[in-house]
Amino acid sequence: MNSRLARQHLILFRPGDETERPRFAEALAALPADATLSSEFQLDQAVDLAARSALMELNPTEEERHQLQSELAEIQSRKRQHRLSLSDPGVLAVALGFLLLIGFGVWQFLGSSSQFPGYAEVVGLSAQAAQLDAGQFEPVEAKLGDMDDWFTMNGLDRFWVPPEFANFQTVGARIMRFENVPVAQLAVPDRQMLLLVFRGQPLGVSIGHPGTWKFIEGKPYSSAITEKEGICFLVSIRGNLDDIQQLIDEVRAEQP
Amino acid sequence: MAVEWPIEPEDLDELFRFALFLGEDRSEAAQVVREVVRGLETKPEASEPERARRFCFWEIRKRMLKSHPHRTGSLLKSNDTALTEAEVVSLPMALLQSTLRTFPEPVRSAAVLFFTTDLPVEDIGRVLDLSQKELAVEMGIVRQNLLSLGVAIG
Repeated sequence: MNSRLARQHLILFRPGDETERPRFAEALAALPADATLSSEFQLDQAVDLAARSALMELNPTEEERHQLQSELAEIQSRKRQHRLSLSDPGVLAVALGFLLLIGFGVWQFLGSSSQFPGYAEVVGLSAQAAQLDAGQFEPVEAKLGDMDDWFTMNGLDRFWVPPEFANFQTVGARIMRFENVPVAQLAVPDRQMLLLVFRGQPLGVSIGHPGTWKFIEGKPYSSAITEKEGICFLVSIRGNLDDIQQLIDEVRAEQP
Repeated sequence: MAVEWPIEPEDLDELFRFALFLGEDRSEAAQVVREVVRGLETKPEASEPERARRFCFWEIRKRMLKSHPHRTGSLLKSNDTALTEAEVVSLPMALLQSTLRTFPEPVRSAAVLFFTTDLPVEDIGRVLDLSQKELAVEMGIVRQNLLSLGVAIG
């Protein structure tokens, strides 16, 4: 490894990292050959040590630590008493089962009332998403409006759910990839909804102004899709075009 | 089957330290850590230890920045290294702490996560929504500014 690359890697080096990350070991091995780099590195390590020592003084007191650990013990105890929940993969499978038994895999597209750029990709994406397997879902019990954390934790920055869907409860979620584009897939028991959230641009999907919905009729499922700031949100329910349009009308009507 | 809980007692010290550093008040820091850890009960998606820790740091930061939005400092522009290794070692702890506290976000959070936790740098990047390249830039800024303390204190 040359000095320039070694310098780049060593910026994020912490003692001990070299045993788990070969790139750090390689960068360290380059030090003896470059006196300037070696000197810079030593100074950085001195700074790091001083900063670490200063910050590590911010410890909880024994009393604070005891209180925090008691809280943790209480939660652990409570968790042991509540094993049977949607967090249990078996229960989740049952909860999703009704979604899976309805023949999503034979979804046929009947055409569109209003095609849009990327329509074919959305159809392909929906068909792939139809290959559902309950075991691939993470149990996620949350309102759709509270999914920001889950999106962020999974690296899906700026992913969103339209406010009119915020109060629906999801029971499971997973990340799938379609043409190497990450797609969040959410299962909602209410009306047996399946939702997809993904970036439209890599797939050439463009819906238009925020608040605009486009509809796709299929059998036995039909879908509606909207977009905001490049992130597309697609909802599918069992039914025809009238059913999906009615769902969108209903949720929009419930918005203040 | 034993019920796994992703947060270990030793993680609590790290979470507390992070919360205290981003805030100022010990009881507030303890309260935020309690709430965030308790909140994991409703976050089965964060049931793995790595995810749970990332979530806790991310949530603590979100909350502390919301309650302390005024905490934005400035960085020295000088590229001169003003301190030697020996001088760095003898810097007062309180000065280092107070200097680190004045760093603007996300430099400040990057520093405290980098120095006080064993979170992999990839996870630090995820918590702060920074790429590895961006995190490296932030850590370069941290070190440069600490080395410039000699200029700052005269």
